[in-house]
Amino acid sequence: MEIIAQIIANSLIAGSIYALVALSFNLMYATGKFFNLAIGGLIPIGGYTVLAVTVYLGLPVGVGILAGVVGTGIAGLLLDRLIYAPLRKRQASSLTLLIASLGAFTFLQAALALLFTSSYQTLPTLIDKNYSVFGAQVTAVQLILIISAVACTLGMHILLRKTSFGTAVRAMSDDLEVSKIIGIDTEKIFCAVFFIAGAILGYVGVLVGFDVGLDPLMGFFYMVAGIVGAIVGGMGEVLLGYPGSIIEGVLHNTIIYVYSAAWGSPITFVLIIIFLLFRPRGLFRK
Amino acid sequence: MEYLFHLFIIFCIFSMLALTLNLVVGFTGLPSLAHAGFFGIGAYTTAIMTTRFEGNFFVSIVVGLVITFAVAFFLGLVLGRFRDDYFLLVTLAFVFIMQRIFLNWGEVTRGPLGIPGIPPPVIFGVSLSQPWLYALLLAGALVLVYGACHFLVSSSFGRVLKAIREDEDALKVFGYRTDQYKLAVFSLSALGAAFAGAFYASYISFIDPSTFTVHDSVFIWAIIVLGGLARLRGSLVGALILVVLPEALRFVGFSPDAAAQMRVLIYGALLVGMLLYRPQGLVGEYRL
Repeated sequence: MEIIAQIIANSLIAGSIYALVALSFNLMYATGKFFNLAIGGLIPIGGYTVLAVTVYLGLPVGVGILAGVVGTGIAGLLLDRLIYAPLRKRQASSLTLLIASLGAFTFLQAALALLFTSSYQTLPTLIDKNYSVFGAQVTAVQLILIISAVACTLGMHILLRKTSFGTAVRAMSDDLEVSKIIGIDTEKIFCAVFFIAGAILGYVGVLVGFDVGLDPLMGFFYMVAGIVGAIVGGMGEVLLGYPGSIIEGVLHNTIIYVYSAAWGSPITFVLIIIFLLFRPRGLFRK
Repeated sequence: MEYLFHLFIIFCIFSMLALTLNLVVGFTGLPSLAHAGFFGIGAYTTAIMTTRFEGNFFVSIVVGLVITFAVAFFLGLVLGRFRDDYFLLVTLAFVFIMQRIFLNWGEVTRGPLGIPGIPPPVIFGVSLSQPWLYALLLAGALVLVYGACHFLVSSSFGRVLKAIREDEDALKVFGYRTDQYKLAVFSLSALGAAFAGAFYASYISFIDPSTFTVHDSVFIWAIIVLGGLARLRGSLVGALILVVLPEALRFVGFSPDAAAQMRVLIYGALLVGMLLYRPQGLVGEYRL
């Protein structure tokens, strides 16, 4: 019984990380219509900013977390302004944008390794508390992760449904050209979208940093897992990335339990590729 | 002088990788990141066979090619169902899975420890431990790969590949089984990567999983985008620039680790810069 509770808890923790990445990915995909693989380079920026601000500069943890979230948001915004916006203007294909984002990913990761070395580092403990839920052990940071994923997904849903910004995003998601014609300042919306998406990734980096530690390569796995979660839910469906990611988390942790930890993620990806062969548009869409 | 031979050997290895990736990406328009995975299979096969079973280097190449062909053929079958961005994502997942296999299948690959002491090839009782001899062998291998690629792209097969890139659906209307062409070129190109991997392993004499990551695929992409997609000569130019240019960092006085990261930084930036300012590459004809 306890072991089942622990598997469910671990699935929720992993799934929540994927869900946050999927949320950010879907937001960028819905508007920009390309796979932004710079995600893998943005996630660690959040964690490393906390390291720089709290450990190197000695400022309070709260400041570090804020700097991590805002800083990664700005990094996301800069990527859009410096790389994606000029490519969009030239009407480059989605594949060109994707390859450019891959170059950006490589660049960011190498830059972090140069600044902070490529070895594994830990952040100071954030909250030293463990909770026991039905026999499952969950740390405070993990609990924050689980709550954050739900809160961010719901928050994004409300933002997209109830605000004029959300209406503009949905219009651009339907048709970018028409959105321009009817007078939406699409570039301004892109700025906001990439800032928010970056900030979410920074937040993921911060929490994962506190949970398991930092290294410049950490973003790659979470990126692939988050995109996979988004695909399982249905590409560009901002709300459905959450269940897609949780399902992926359950699959992953079940494999870890019944087979082995080392092969959990590769087997999950193989299963999902097989799934994609039969349902290329995701679990919830016809 | 030895240093020049070293640079030449590295240039030959990455040229072979770039030429064969160009067949898939440049000529056929399939965005594959899988090359690092096939490169790894070739390298690991040679490493395992020559260290553990004291096998012949050339036999190990053949075994590596057979394994790679089987893997690439199967992956190609799956990839036949995907296009563009999704195609790329599946190849990305493939590189991730291969990396985990190199890392986790400890009994065979020695996991993160890597495989040291890979011997140089022996021809007629002569061990090619001399750099110039090895450079000569590599030059021969590069000529072979270049010739094969040139033959492929200038044949009718190559013309079909280009037509797939331009308009696959139209070609289907004319009765071409485009999926078979794509599968063929994907598998053949994987062979080139495994071939290069075998030489890489026996030259460097030590391999570990960190050499076969997605960043190595991005590096090969940077070479072909820099040189120009769908231009074989472009791939040579790109490989020459990207292999030699970062060597300058050595003389600036970076530590080896920092120099390695600077190299990655440079080609990441270069890839983005090329796509922004010169998407057709230095001598290319096709742009993404």
